[in-house]
Amino acid sequence: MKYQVIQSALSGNDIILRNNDDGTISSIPTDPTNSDYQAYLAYVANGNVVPDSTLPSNSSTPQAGN
Amino acid sequence: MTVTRHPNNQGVTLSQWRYNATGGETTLSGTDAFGAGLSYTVGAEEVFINGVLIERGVDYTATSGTAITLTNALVAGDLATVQSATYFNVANAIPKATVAAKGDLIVGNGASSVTNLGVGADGTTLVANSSAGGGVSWAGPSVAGGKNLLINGGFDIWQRGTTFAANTSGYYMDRWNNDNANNNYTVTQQSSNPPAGSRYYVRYTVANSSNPYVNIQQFIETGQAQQAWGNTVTFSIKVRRNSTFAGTYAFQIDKSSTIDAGLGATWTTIGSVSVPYTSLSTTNWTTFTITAAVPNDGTANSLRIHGNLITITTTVGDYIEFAQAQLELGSIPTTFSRAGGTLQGELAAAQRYYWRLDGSVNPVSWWHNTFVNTSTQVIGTIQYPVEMRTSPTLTTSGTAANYRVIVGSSVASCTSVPVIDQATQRTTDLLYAIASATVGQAGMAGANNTSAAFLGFSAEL
Repeated sequence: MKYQVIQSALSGNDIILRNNDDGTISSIPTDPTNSDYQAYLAYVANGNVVPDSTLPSNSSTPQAGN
Repeated sequence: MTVTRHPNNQGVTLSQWRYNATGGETTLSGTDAFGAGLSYTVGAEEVFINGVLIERGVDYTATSGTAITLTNALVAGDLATVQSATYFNVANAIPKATVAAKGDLIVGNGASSVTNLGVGADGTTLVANSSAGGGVSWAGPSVAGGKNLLINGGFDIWQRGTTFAANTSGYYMDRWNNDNANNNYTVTQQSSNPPAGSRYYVRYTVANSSNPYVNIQQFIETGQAQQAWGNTVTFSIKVRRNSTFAGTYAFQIDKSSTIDAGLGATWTTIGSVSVPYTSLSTTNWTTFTITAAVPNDGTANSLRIHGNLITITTTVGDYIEFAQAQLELGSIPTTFSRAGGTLQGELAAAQRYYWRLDGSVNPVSWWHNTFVNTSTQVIGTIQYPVEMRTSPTLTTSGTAANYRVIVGSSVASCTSVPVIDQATQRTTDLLYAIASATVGQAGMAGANNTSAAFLGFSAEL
């Protein structure tokens, strides 16, 4: 499982992208009550570094994170 | 005066009438010095003169019930006392033999007439029934929506699919989380010989006999768990296995002080049941229950039902099955019913946590309207069928070409999987990337002729 942070050029919101082990891709809103966002925050709090990127436009998957 | 020997006028009532003689009286009648009128049951009276019992038919006659004639006249200063007991009619007592078994009830079937009503079946309730001989009868079991704190306890809702390979952990059937990270089991929806009252159940089939462990759990958010605070709750579930499945398992009711706790929270067990596989039938469903007290002290802000199974000796293909999971208030397991009552109610309850659009039914379906925001980006808003627990995570197939948009008359495959722009509990704005389009044009987005395309919105715990 890998994370990547993108910023929407439309709203300016941060969006967390997650490459899942089964090949699916999730985008996670920065809502503190969202359990996936909570897991992301815990992942970062453990010292992991998540790369930033602009919103992908011509790739089928987000860039690899950690 | 009246002396009552038993509360509620049950048993014998003893009336006493007293009179101080002035001399010469041969008849006792009227009102005594205490305001009580002479009244007696003929033959049941006792007459005392100065405390000495005198003999009926010899010393007095008493036939009217309101007057007594003395053989010898009283003298001044004599104290005449008449006591009379009401009849206690043993024939009016209800014989113990009226009831025949544990739980039988005695009910009226007419004026001054009773009959036995045999105990009802488990889960039934007593209702008035004018056509029944006793005026009441057992009915049900009733299907009461909302009594089950577990959503999809009947395994009716399978939005994510009905067959899951043993290659990941997460949510399979709606609301049920499965830790299957070691490729232990395949999970499938089953419909052959379900328990009465159900159409489906879930089967865990061993896929990895070297690491035979699986768990199944459902997290109950605080807004639901609060109903249990300070109450006793009962969990029940039906289990079955195939003939060669061998394992031990335990179900638990867990609590957490964390608000809306889920994966990663700290859980404490407040009740459990452990049953060896030898107690399971290979043909019939066996019900297991847990009863536990849920504290109202902030330590049970969230609840969890958690089943752990560890196989002992097994081979690939062995399986264990679960049906009709229910967590309810009270200490008695009652007949299973859905949390949402109806099927549509159950679906709506599940969609608070997850719902999806996909191409499984129609691989070329269009899902929602869009417009071109930039020359390479299309945006559109999706409204969920019900308000979700929180702003949901969007999950896609991971393949950009599974998705397409139509802009004007041109259909284009996406160059990146859809992502959220912003999300609320009611709507999500989605962004689709395409090679080129004219800004401002309206269109639609959907599956690109594949059943693999889906948009899954998850607000799970």
